[in-house]
Amino acid sequence: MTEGEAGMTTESALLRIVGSSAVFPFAATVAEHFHYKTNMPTPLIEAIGTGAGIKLFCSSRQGPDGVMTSRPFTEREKKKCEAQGITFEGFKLGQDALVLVQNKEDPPFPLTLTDLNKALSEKVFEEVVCVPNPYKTWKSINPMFPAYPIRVLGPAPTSGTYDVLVEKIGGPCGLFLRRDGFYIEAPANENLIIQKVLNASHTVGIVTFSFYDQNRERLNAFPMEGILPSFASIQDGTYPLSRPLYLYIKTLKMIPERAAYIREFVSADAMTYLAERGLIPLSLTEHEDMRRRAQQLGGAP
Amino acid sequence: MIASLSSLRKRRLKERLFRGAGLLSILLALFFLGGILGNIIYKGVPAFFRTEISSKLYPDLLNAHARYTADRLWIVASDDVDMYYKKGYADNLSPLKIQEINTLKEGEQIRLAFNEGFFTHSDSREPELAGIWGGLVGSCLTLFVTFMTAFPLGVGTALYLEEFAPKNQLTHWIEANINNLAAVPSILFGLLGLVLFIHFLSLPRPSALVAGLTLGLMSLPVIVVATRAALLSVPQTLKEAALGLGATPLQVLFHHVVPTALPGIMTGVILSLARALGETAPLLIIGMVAFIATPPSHFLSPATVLPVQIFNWSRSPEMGFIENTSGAILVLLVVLALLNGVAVFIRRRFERE
Repeated sequence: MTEGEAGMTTESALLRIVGSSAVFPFAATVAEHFHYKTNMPTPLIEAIGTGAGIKLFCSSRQGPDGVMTSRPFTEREKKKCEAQGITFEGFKLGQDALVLVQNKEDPPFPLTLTDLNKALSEKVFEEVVCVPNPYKTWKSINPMFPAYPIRVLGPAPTSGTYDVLVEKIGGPCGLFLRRDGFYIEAPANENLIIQKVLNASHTVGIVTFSFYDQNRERLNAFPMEGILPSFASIQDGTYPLSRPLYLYIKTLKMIPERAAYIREFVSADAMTYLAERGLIPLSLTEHEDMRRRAQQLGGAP
Repeated sequence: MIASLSSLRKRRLKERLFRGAGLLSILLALFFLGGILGNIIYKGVPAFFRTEISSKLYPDLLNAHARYTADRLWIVASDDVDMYYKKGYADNLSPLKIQEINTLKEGEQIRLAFNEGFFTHSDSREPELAGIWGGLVGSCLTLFVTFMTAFPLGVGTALYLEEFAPKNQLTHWIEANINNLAAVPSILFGLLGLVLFIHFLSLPRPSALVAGLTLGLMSLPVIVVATRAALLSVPQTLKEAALGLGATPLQVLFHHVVPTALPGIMTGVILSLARALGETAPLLIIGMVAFIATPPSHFLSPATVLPVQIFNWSRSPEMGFIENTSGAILVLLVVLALLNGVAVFIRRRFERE
């Protein structure tokens, strides 16, 4: 029995969606609402990471119905997928952002991406050459900053969040974060980062927006390039540490469940309840565009 | 005379110091254990209660009986309300909503009630609706597969190796390998399961069958080692007496050796199953990190197990999942304690007979 057939034995097909753990909570929430509304089986959502998700999605025509990603497909991935005879369509779901947080006792100070590069990169650009990161305290980066040592808890290199962080702050000296103890790689559990930050002063945590949103009363966020993270600033792109989230689904032999799930994902309802969970909604025109494309998917009930 | 006295004093002092150090270490261990357990209980017990809001139906329109008895229907509140009512966290509530809740409080239209949904619902992204039923069913199915594979294979291997196999280089080498396998980190068995059952045999991915077979592989060497230890403890004289009375080796084995060794074998099996029940790492490798909102109906349907569900909940941003996580850990601890209790009971029971 292959993976595809396992779901086909029931009356309505069971959808399988794999991919990024950043999209996972939103996809799972939509899956539940989809089940309540249509009475079709609750889709199976698996968080295995963007890269592994795309690999599985493109491995065969059966396999998962959709893949959640925190970046668009690369050209190479697209070609590989099409070589298998898989046709698919991508939907932008909204934005997610990385937020630097501290506990309420420490006043946050305004950071720029350059400051963050100096604080976290393995090597920094000094006049003409790349040197191992010499900064040990925030004050050594900018005299206006407090004097306590740099201590930042953030994502580990295996996560998509790490890639985004590196891509956003990476300077001319390579794409690695420092490994000399000032940047601490936390396991893929943002609640742990929040716990650490709450219990230790002078510690900075890097978490995704939904985690900050759920703990607003207990955490301070750092302004980045003078912009505080908020729904508005992330949506219009002025907050620099943000990233788009996508869902790709197979369009070959469109089954009604797939189309219905996508329609639920881009519905006005979903926009409200996903925003409560911390997903930054698309702008109105983009959202309208996604809804139009979802209607055109076919497989109408 | 004096010299020997002072030496005695020294030796007694050493003894006291050693006892003191022993007592201190056990107290320290108890202190940490108490701290962890206390923390989990403190965080987890609220998960067994939920906030409910009463909705007044139309008493005038109901039948005469219902008018007096069921004029109130209690409905589970959202997780934000739950958190505010239990702990006063108001992060996600607008001032208007807080005012509404306070009005409900004055009218006694909001209450804490036993959260039976925590035991009867399956996974959900809404903390107030999430329950452990799906995980429990998945764990039971998985454990059944593990038992059905690891128990006969493990005990059979141990019986053959201990009682029938010739003692030569080959069996010696096999024994050494089994002992090593028993100490291999469980995550490696996850990798083995991934390659063997999913890539090679292409069994359906997050299913109780694959999870059970993988955990069966993991438990196998432990069961072999435990069974062999139990068989070794059977006195040689017993076997020789039976053989001397004309019993065949097979009769000796099943009439005398196995019954005598059974308490030890059962204890080993139950303890290794208890370990399999609490295992998470190999199951993450074989792709059980899924959101599955319906409990599995058979061995091939998508399933998750309790420890993986705990792992998933612990990574969720909502405050409500913090208490759900601890609540589920409490349930898992109770199940594990029960299993260990059964092991102790079986051992006592058989030893007496």
